[in-house]
Amino acid sequence: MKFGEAFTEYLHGELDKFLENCGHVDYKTLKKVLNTCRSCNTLRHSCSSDSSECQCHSCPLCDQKFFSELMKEASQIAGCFSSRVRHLLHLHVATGMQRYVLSLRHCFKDDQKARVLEGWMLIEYALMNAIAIRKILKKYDKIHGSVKGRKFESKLQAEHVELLQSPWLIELGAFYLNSNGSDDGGFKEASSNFSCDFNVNPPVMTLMLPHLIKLELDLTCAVCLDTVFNPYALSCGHLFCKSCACSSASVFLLEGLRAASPESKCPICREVGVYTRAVHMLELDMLLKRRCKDYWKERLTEERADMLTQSKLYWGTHARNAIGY
Amino acid sequence: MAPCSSWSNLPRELIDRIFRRPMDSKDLARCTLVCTNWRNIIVDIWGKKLSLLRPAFKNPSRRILREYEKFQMDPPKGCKARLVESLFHWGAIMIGPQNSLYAGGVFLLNIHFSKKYPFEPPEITFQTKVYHPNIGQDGCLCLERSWCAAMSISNIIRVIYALFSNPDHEDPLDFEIAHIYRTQRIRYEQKARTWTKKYATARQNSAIDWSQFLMDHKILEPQE
Repeated sequence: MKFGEAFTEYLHGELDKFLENCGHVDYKTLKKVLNTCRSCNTLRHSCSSDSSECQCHSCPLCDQKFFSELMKEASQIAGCFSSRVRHLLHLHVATGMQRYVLSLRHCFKDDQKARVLEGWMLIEYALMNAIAIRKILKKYDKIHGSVKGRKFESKLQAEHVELLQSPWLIELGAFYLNSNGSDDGGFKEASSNFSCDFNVNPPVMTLMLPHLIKLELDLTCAVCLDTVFNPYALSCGHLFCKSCACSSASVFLLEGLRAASPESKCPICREVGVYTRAVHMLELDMLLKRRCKDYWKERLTEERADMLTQSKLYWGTHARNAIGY
Repeated sequence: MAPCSSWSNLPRELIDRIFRRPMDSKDLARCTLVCTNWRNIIVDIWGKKLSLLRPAFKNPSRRILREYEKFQMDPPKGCKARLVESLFHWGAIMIGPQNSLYAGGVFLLNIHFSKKYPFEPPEITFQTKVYHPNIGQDGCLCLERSWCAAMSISNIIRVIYALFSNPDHEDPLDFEIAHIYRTQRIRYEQKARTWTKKYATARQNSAIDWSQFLMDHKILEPQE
């Protein structure tokens, strides 16, 4: 079955009611734009049979409609995906009063299965749209004999709308593994597609996605070269331990990443201003707590000692300065 | 008094004069509490020296140990590293890359890690004399601009290998050599080859015995 047909089938699937408010890649329309690109077609026919000679690098019709539309759709999909995952996981890792209300509700209605199903739907949603974007860009390059599509793919990564590199995908994987580990049962089948090995070097989370796509996500912090502890994903998508991220942003642990200056750069991609919108990866932290108890305890003790040292320094300095001694 | 924004352009001595006396870190820290502008100015001028404004870094020995283990398991081609005195001081050896002016040369390096590693780059110096625009006369390498905490020694060694093959004359450490590289390429190449033959030999003095490594790379003949 061609991907176009598979994508259409997916869009009309019965489970799509979960994602009725979410945008999708308008695969058909974009394909039409490419097929009806007359200037390219005439150029293609005028070229010799050797396709490598056909170099139509600029096409105003495509460049206007195609890329702006695709960028708009991609950012809409990424936004929708992250907000839906955030909402889904917020219910799972709720604390305090909210947790109490949810546990009461749990007595009357078991919605854990529905949550797992929605999680799977979100994964499929991200995957199908990511494949659609890649396919359409490949087709663009093929028709125009250019590398603009490949460059646009890099642009999507730079704009953080590349779905398969989203930290929320790691969170969803961790959510599945945590659901499997809990006593609710019945999720063995769904989470058999996910595995996580903290004993190998580097530690990886493996996601077996639909359409035989295998994603291996590295869970090593690039600063301490250890398995991430109390992980935070910066807005550029890179994962670090909280203490490592705070150190690289030159802020105290008790101040948190929000206190980082806008000039602070990501230690991997050197992008500026990525700390203020950092996301705490709660599901991944929970998974680590369950799977590597000894390591987690050891790191927790270290972080507490660090926090104590830094707190003394921080408040001591402020007190001395305030008193003027 | 001059507006805050132009303060950062004033020389240090003048600011000391404005405040009537040289300022120690306690005074500076007190000044940072006045307002955001003052804090920014003080961080701009004295930030690096002012430890009070920065949190203490974690002990880097764990990270260095990890890196050392990784380096031993998967070293860059034609390179090896060993500990000299402590975890914070490594000795390394590099074989000049093939098809370059430094081919067959044996280059010894000293690697020193500071207590602020990996947020400060390691200090890498060539023990062997090298004729190269990106290596200083004292053998030092400038990593400040390109360094980030996610980089490792393996990355740096690979960067050095790349520089051996393609020197970056746009951003040199030794301007004289860079000028020769730009204007008299043949002379540069001759001199680089001469220095490699003269200094980058297998019989250099070193705190570490590299003979086994050199034999493995067929640079030293096995002794009968």
